[in-house]
Amino acid sequence: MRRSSAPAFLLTLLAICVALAAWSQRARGQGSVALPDSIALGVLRPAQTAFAKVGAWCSDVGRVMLRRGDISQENAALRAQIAALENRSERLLRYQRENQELRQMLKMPQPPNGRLLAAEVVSRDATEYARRVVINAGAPQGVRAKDVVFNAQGVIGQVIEVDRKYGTSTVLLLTDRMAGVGAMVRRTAARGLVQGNGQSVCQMTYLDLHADVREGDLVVTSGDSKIFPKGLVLGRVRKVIKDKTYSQTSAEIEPAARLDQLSAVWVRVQAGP
Amino acid sequence: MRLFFLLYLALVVQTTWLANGLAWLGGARLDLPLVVVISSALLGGWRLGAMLGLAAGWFCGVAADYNLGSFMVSRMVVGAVSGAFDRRLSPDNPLLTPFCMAGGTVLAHLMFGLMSPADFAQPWPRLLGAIGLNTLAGCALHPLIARFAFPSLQQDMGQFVQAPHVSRRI
Repeated sequence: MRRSSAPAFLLTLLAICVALAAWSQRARGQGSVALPDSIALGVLRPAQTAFAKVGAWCSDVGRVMLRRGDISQENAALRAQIAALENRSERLLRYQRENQELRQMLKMPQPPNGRLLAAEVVSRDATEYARRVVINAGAPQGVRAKDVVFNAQGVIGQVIEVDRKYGTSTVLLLTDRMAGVGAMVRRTAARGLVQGNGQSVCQMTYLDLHADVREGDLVVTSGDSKIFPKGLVLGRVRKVIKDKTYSQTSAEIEPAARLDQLSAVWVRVQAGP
Repeated sequence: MRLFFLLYLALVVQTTWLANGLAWLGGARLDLPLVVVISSALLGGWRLGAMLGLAAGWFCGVAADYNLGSFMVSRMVVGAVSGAFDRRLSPDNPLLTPFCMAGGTVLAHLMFGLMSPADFAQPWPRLLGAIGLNTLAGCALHPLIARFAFPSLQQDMGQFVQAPHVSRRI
C-alpha cells in the first residue's frame, strides 16, 4: 500500500485535532459532552475507578503495616474525640433548632441547607496545568454544577461539570488558576478574594492596605457569593504581602484541606440557586 | 493495538497512582503517557509517533477536561519530532533515549505554553524536575516498551547481530 506524503499525513492529523477540539468545544458550549469525549471517558472511567480502589487499599494496608503500634493509641484518642464531638453536636443541634425558631419569629428567610453526599475521588489531575479531580457522584445522585465540595479539613472546591452518563463530576480545586472564592479573615472579618494560581497555595487578594491580617490567621468563606455559604474553612494565612503602590494587601493562603491527598469528599447538593 | 493498550494503561496509572507531584522536586511529576509516546516514536518512526501523540493528547485533554486542542497538537508534534530523530541519529547511540526524553518534555511544555499561554504556569524547578523524571523513567521503560510493543523489532535486532549485512532499518 502506498504511503501518503509527510505533509499530507501531518495535515490530516492536524485536521483531526481541529475537528475533535471544535466538536468538544461546541458540545461544552451546549452543556453536554461530545460523543468522542464521551467514548473516551467511558473507556477510562472504569479502569480509573478500579485503579483508584486498588491504590487506596494498598495505601491503607501499607499504613497499617507501618503504623501498627500507633494505631491502637490513635484509635483510643479518636474514640475520646468522637465522644466529645457527639456532645458538641448535640449542643449545636439544640442551637440550630433555637435559631430556626428565632428566624421564624423574625420572619427571616431560611438559609439554603441542601444535603450532604459522600463521594470518592476516582481520578486526579491528568495534566500539570489544571488542578481538578473527578468524583464518583454525578447527575444520578443529584449533583449539579456549582455544588460545593469539602471534607473534614475545609473547602476543596466546586463542581464544574457533571457527567450525566457515567455518574461522575469534575471538581475545580481551590488551587486551580480558574478558582475564586469570596473570603474573610475570621479574626478580623477583613474581606478579600481567595484565588488559585496553579501552585499548592492560594492567593488572597483585594484586601485593604491596612487590613489586619497576620500569619496563621484562619480564612473562611465570606458568603458574598451564592455558591459558597458563609463560614466554611478555606485555610490559614502563610505570608502577608503589603503593596503600597496599589494600596492593597495580599496574602498567601495554605488550603486547610490536603488537596494532594484527597480520597473521600462531601458534596453539598441541592443547595438552592 | 499493544501500543494503544500501553498508552491507555499509562494514562490510567498517571491519573490515579502518579497524580501527585514530588514536593522535594518543586511539585514535578512524571508524565507517563508522554514517555510512552516518545519511546514508541523512537522505536516505530515519526508516523506512529505522531498518531500516538495525537491519541495521548486527546486522552489527556479529555481526562483533564482542559485545553484539548493544545494537548493534542503539542503531543502530536513531540511524537513526530522524536520519531524523526531515529533517522538523524544512530539507534545504537546510548544518548538517543535520554536526549529525546528531555527534549520531548521541553518541546511538549513549550508547545503547550505557546498555544495556551494563559494556562501555562510552570515554575523552573518543577519544569526541570519533570524533565529529569521523564528522562529517567524513559531510559528505564524504553527497553520494556520495546520488548512489549515491538517484539518483531527485537527479533530483527537478534538476526542483525548474527548477520550484520541485514539492514535493521524497518
